[in-house]
Amino acid sequence: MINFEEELKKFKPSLEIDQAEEAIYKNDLRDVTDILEDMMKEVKVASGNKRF
Amino acid sequence: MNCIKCNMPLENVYVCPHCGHVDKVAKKIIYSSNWHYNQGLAKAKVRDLSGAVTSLSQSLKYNKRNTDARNLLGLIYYQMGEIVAALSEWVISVHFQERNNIAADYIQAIQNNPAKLKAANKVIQKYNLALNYVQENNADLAIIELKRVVNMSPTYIRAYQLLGLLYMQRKQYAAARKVLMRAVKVDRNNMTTLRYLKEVNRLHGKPEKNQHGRKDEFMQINDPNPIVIEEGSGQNYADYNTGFLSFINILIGIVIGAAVIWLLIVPSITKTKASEYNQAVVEYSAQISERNKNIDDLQTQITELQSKLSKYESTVGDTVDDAGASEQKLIEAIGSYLQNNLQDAGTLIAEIEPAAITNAQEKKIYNIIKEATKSSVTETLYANAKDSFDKKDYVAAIDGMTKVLRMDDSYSYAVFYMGRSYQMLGDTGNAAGYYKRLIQSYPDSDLVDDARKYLNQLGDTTSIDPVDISGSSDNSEDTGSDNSEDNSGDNADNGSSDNGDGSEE
Repeated sequence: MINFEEELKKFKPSLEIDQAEEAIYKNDLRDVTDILEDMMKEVKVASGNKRF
Repeated sequence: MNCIKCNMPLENVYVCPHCGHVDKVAKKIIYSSNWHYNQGLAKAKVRDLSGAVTSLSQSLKYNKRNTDARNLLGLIYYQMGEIVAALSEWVISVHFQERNNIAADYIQAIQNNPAKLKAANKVIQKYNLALNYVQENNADLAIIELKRVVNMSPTYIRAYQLLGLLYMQRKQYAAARKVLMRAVKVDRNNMTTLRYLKEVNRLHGKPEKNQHGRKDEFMQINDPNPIVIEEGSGQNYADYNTGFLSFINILIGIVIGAAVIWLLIVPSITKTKASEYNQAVVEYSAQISERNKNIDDLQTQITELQSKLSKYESTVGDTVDDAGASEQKLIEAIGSYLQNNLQDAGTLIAEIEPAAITNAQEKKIYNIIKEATKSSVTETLYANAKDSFDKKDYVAAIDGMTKVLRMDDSYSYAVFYMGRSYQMLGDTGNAAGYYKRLIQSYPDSDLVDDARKYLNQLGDTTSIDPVDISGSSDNSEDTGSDNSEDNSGDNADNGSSDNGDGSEE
């Protein structure tokens, strides 16, 4: 059984053409490689802290 | 990510281009990304657009530099009517790979067609407006706007879904099913669409199977970058705002305008000009005919004036000639008279027309010589004239008798033979005049009876007045009653001899 009110709330306005730039900047471009790099950086930072 | 041996950056590769080291982690990541890309491509080929979007997004989560996955994702967004999302993916794709990237061509194609871009933006605005109407609980207006949206953009999945949901809310299940089925044809495995369809079927029952066996309206093109093309559907949106079509429309408008001008305005102008031309022709014709008439009148006047002029010239010439000849004869007569040659002087005087002498002095001399020579010339002139009559030379007889009457206008025999000569020439008028003159002026003449007889022969000409001999008045003034006495004497002398000739005629 569909709740029409809830379903209608799921529909959001579409972005217009002049909002494309904003959409590009908001796009989350992080991929697995970025996550791994971040993890490695954190690992390096953690190991560095342990040495000193 | 950098190579763990030489620390050189590894971008979209798992083999280090510098040291040749194979990075296993990078290899797994790239392989995973490619595997999801292949999944997305396979789903796109069977029009599972939502599934393709999920797979391609997953592929990009592994490797954001997977250009093929990002470009295909943009194409699928474009197919679903999400223009902004499509442009975003292509712009990012070009950002990661500037060269040899088909996304640049896609962006260029959209930028080169601003009319289409404007139409797409208008579709989005209408969808957003419909969504506003929904939020304001104005479903009727929302449905109207959404109908326009799906008409303008037949692959806009979200519009179909919202429209189907609104129909379901209004319990218009058939319409909802129809709309949702169109959405399914664009995107087969869209979970939202299928859920709505399931709800419609539950509330309204399943539709009958299509017994016409219609062919699927969509065809998949075997292409590395698949684009789904929808075949002829009457309600599909078609963009007619391209530059070429605009030019064609303007051209058609110009042609129609020219045709209207040619068919409506030009005949009117031509008709007006023809009317003006005909009117001008009529006016000029009237003027020409009037001028021709004037020319004819003037020509007639010229002819009349020329004839009058020639007549006057001839009259003046004759008068001058007569006057000159008369003066010459008078001078000659004076000469003969001074030489005492009365016969020649009288003959010359008899030839002079008395009316031609206008000078009073000349007229006096003329009368003197005439009186002096009359007795000696008249008989001779009469004899010559009678001789001409006898010879039936009536013209010479008339001329001779005229001379006799100039010298002596009471010479009744000359009057009678004037009548006879005219009668013989057929001039009955003059003939009758002389006869009547004889009867009235010389009733005692022995020729009166003959004159009456000939006058009766002439019939209706008896009413004509007696002929007046030119110059007779002058003679009568000068000669007085002596003429009648002389005349009677002449009649007595000549009557017997001439009477016989007259009676013979």
